[in-house]
Amino acid sequence: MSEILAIDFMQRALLAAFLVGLAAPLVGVFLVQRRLALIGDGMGHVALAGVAVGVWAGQSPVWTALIGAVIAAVVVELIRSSASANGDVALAIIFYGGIAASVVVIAKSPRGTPASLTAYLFGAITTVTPGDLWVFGVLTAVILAVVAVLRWRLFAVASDEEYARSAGLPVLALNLALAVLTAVTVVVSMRIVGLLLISALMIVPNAAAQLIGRSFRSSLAWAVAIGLLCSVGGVVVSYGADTPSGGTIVMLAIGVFMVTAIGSAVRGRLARAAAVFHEQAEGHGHEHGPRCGHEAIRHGDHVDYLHDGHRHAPHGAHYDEHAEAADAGDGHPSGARGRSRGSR
Amino acid sequence: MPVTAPPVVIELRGATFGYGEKAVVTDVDLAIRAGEVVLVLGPNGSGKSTIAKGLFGLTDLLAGEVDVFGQARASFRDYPRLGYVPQRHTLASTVTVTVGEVVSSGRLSRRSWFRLATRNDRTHVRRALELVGLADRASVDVADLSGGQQRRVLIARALAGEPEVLVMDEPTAGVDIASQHGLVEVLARLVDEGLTLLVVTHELAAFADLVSRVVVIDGGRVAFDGSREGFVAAGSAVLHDHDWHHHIDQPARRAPLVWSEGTLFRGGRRQ
Repeated sequence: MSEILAIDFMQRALLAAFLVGLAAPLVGVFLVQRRLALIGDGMGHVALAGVAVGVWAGQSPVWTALIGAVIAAVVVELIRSSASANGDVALAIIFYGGIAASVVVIAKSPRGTPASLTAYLFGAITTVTPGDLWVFGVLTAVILAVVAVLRWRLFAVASDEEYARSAGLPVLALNLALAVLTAVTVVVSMRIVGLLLISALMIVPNAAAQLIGRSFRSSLAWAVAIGLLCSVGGVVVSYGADTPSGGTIVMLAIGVFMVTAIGSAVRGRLARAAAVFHEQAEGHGHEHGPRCGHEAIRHGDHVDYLHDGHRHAPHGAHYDEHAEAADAGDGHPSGARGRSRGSR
Repeated sequence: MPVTAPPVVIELRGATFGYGEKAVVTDVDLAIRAGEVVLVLGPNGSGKSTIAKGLFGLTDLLAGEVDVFGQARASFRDYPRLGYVPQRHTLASTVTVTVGEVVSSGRLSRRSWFRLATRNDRTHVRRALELVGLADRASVDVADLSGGQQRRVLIARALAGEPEVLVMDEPTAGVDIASQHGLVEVLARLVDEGLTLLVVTHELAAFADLVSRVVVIDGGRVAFDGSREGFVAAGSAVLHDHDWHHHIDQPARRAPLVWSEGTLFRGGRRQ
């Protein structure tokens, strides 16, 4: 490890990986919540056109990519919010127009060939310049600050737009802010993860974190931890295995997701097995009886009471959770889905 | 000493709501006073939800005027005073969210952009959860709750903002009878505390004991507006007398609405 840290370009690569690992899941969680998991991919396409213009003009491609991505983000969000019937087609034209323009512009550029786009598309650890690192640092700081201030408003808009509107939240402005945050994250990723793969680092750590966290707050913390592990770990592996960093980082993230998914499935089975043994109704201050107002359903040798969508069966001083209401009325638990217990 | 009537909190004058150019409800006159419990009743597709949404600017006001707390709707900015419980069947989300986090989002309209949640905010969130009987579920994933409990979470979210008027869109749809009783108990408690309630529903039965006034919307117009007693006494007669001619181009709607056994019927079918 100390050998890696002694190399200049690796120092920069690790720092850039740290920044993108931190920023991508923080922005991605709102995209997951809004079911826009693929929007970052589209913005990457347009950012690539910005890169090509930068290469052609002999300017830093980071700035031109930023301009391209931010313009695309605003236009895309305005099209989406207009809910036009042809919105989907308009997005396709913008995204593929971005890729097409980038290939054409770079072919006509005195300093580049289409092959020189590969590093921007898939990430390369040797490409981070000191100037890039400053820009990425500032952009990441902006992302962190904006998410810190707006997170609960972005959350409210993403989870229930109608309610957010009724509460007077500036829904369009918040959606535009999220679109621009996505564009900026795409640009921060362009050296290490690559414009075609950044969407994965915004989404996959969040997908894994949803399986671990028990609240929005804790899931987000887990997503950032997983994002950092994968981006920094991916760069180290990429150096050792001589593989493109973007692909390595994303494969690592998908690996973490799969391990988490398997772990979560096993945990779920164990929990269900324990519940089958005995599941008690929580916090039950009400006593069920013939006139309690809750529907009574005969269940084998006893009576369940339908309470708030659950079936409660008296058991000593408490109530047990019995089978779902799906099999109500037939008097036996054959239709139960694993929550039925014969504990009496 | 003369008794002064409570102030009018919501007033619609000749209001027509719709989407874009298309009017859904036309020419609604309605004045709701503080402390009233108003049931906006009507069959599916009558336009009753469109009115509720119109109060929040979620549907377009095509003609007429809407005043909220004496202010024109378009210039109304005192959002927390008017709470909204939208019609949603589930809170299920692609991300993990706890009951407490959902309810906390109801405080956002009272929080400035750069201020973190204060003790006062947390107190109101806890109180809202207590009111709907979910205080012990604050840290539970909303996806793990039953449909009836999720409705109560939505109510708590609206209550967290300390509204003076609460507008609810179909709060009992898809909720079993026992949970409906629980819901109405919660609402009765809120009304006792002085909350003005406007409930959009197609079921009167669940709210029969709570409601002070009934407004029936049918075919995009107000078909009846009066006290609960007046509604029950007049029953279907009121509804029969209504001018139905404007439905002539909509054969499926031609039969008059009939109110019976706490439910709206048309052509013998429950609405």
